[in-house]
Amino acid sequence: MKSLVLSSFDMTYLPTIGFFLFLAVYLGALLWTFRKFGKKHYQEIAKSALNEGQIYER
Amino acid sequence: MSSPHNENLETFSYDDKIVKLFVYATLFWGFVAMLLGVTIAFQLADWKVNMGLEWMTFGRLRPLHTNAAIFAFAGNGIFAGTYYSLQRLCKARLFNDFLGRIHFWGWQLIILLGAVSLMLGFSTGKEYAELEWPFDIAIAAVWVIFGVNFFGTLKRRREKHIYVAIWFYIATILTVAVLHIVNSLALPVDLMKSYSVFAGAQDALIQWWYGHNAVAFFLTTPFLGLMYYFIPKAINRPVYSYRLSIIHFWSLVFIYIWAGPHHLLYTALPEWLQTLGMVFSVSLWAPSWGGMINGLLTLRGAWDRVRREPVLKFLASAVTFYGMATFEGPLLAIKSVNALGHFTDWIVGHVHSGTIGWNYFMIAGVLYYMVPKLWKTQIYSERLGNIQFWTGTIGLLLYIVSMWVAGITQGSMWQAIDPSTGNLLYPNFVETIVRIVPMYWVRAFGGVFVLFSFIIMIYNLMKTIVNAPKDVKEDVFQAPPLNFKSDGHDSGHRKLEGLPLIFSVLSVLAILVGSAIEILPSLMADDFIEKKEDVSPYTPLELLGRDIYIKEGCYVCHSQMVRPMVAEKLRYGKPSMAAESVYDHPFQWGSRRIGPDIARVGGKYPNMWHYKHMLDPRAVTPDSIMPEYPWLFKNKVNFKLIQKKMEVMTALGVPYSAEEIDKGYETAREQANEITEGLAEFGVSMDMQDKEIIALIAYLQRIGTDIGQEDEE
Repeated sequence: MKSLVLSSFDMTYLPTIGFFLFLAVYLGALLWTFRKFGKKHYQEIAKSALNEGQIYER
Repeated sequence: MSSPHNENLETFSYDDKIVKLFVYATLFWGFVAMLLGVTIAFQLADWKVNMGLEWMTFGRLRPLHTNAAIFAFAGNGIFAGTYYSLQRLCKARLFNDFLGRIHFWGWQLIILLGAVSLMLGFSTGKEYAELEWPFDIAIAAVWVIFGVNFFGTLKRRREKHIYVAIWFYIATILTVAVLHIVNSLALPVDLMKSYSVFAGAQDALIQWWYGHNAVAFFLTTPFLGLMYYFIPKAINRPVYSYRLSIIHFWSLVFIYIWAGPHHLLYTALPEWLQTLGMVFSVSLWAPSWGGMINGLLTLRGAWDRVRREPVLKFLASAVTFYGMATFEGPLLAIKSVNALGHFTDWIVGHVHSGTIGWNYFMIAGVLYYMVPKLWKTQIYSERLGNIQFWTGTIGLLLYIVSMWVAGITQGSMWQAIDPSTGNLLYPNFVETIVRIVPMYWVRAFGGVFVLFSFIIMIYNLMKTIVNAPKDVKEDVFQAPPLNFKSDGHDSGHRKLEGLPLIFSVLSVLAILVGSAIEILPSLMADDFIEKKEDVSPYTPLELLGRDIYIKEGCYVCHSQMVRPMVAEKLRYGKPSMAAESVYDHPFQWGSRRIGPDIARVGGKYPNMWHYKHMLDPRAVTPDSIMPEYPWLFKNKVNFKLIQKKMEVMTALGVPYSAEEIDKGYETAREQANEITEGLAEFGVSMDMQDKEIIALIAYLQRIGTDIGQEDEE
């Protein structure tokens, strides 16, 4: 059954499907990232990499 | 644990001892990997450097070099940088110190024993995954331990949001696990021999899905994680665009996994898969360069420091070489360019611009940053760091340029056709090798420069460590505990960044989409490979001979894939078909032609030619650079294993009958006797019939003979 289904499936559609999947993921990430109100938040996260924690003086 | 002074703050320290252990291992294995690289470079320039020693031949040392460079050198460097940055980004000590020690010593033991096994000739015959099945299981176990320690640390973090470097580490851990497990699926024959469960075109697809993404998820994503942490730290400035890093991550993770088939352009793989691999490879330009630009722009306004400080010099150059390598990769994946570059040294040059320029330089930058901080001291000599940089850069440029010249020269010569006769202009393959041997010398000396630069770094860092103060106490830090309560502004991706489990699931989904679309049809559709009635399984002796072919690493120099091109048909014969390798566990299509393709070598020469060729290649092919294989004339074939091997092959779908398996030993002996009798007419002793050379000749004479010349039309 699965062989019958797959053998009648035109594999040339797969690159097209792949392209649209990529486009959806890419545009999704793009729109999500550049939404309003995110700038300050992302600046804070970016700065967090520089902070290793406050040294505790015993 | 709470501070006695402030109830809102917790005190903690970092496990830097594990980072130090991985630093030492990186330095040691980096030296070993580069020494091996230089050794095999000289072996190609002068075959006598193979020294006639079984364990020293190019076919065995080349897999050792690649595995050492990727998994020992880069692997230890990744672990050092990851453990250092992860703890600091999470503001939490490593989840479990003991697991960290198991991870460290387990990894070193695998590398050490794996290196010995490769030199002894135990190999699966799959590039960058040559280690046999017990090692595969051990690698998976140690990787899981690494994963447990990683995610355990993430769980106890004191920072709500997971910084972008950690995303790249997560993608690395999960994807490498998937790639390693799937590609290593095999049925064992004995403790050190197994056959891949995949065969022929399916195996090729799985192997290069793994091989390409080993580059992507072992040599790229973890290093991008290191880039996103160490460049901002070294320059004390946030990354240029955090938003760009998010887009960089998702687009790279999604696209990379699709690009594997570009290693199989013009092969017997279905056309639509080749096109898919090419298109997604070209698409990789965007995220790769987005990431590179993000890294370089983080350095804006500090280029004066880049000129002075070795840390920034190495980091900036690494990112630049990343840009170069990720420009060249998609370029080589375009079919028309690939037609020229594939199987040539151009690919070798491209790979080394990545592994030396990107990986080595990034590790050097990370080590120069971490070592003074870990040992609480100053770098021993910035001048030595700068000398190392220039020595390494000159060596790398000599390497890359010589390989460009060699690759384009040889590729052009292979395809050159005399317009007046329609024949090949250089019909003798060895002509095309002789022409590029001077470039092999340039490459070898370029490698010496790179190795020397690494030795300078070892000296510089060891002096730094030795001169460091000895009685320094471990730093203790304070940070507030993690508050999971939302501040009311979190939504979408921000929430996702705080949820490692969901984030991990989405990352895996991103890589599984491409994997499934490319691989599943090959496993499920019966018409994926054309049917050929006259393709039959190997005889027992041919099967034994094939294992010797794999043991000696013949596939690192000889392809078994005639591409459908005029020049290839003229040189080798009928283009290869997927049906021809349906019983090949594993496939042996190869990726480089240091010697000619041998997909149609069966019946091309008499047995005695092969006998002489393996004993002294220059006796039949003057100017050949192939090593001699005198041990094949001394080592005996283990005929007793043939039945077991045939049973395993049968379990994998090869149609041996019960009778054929029962008579496997006798059949193999008979064929060996027959071949040796033919050789005896030229003075060869009948005592040779149980030697490895006879089984190897049987296999070589079989290759490519199933598809008869009647199919020519």
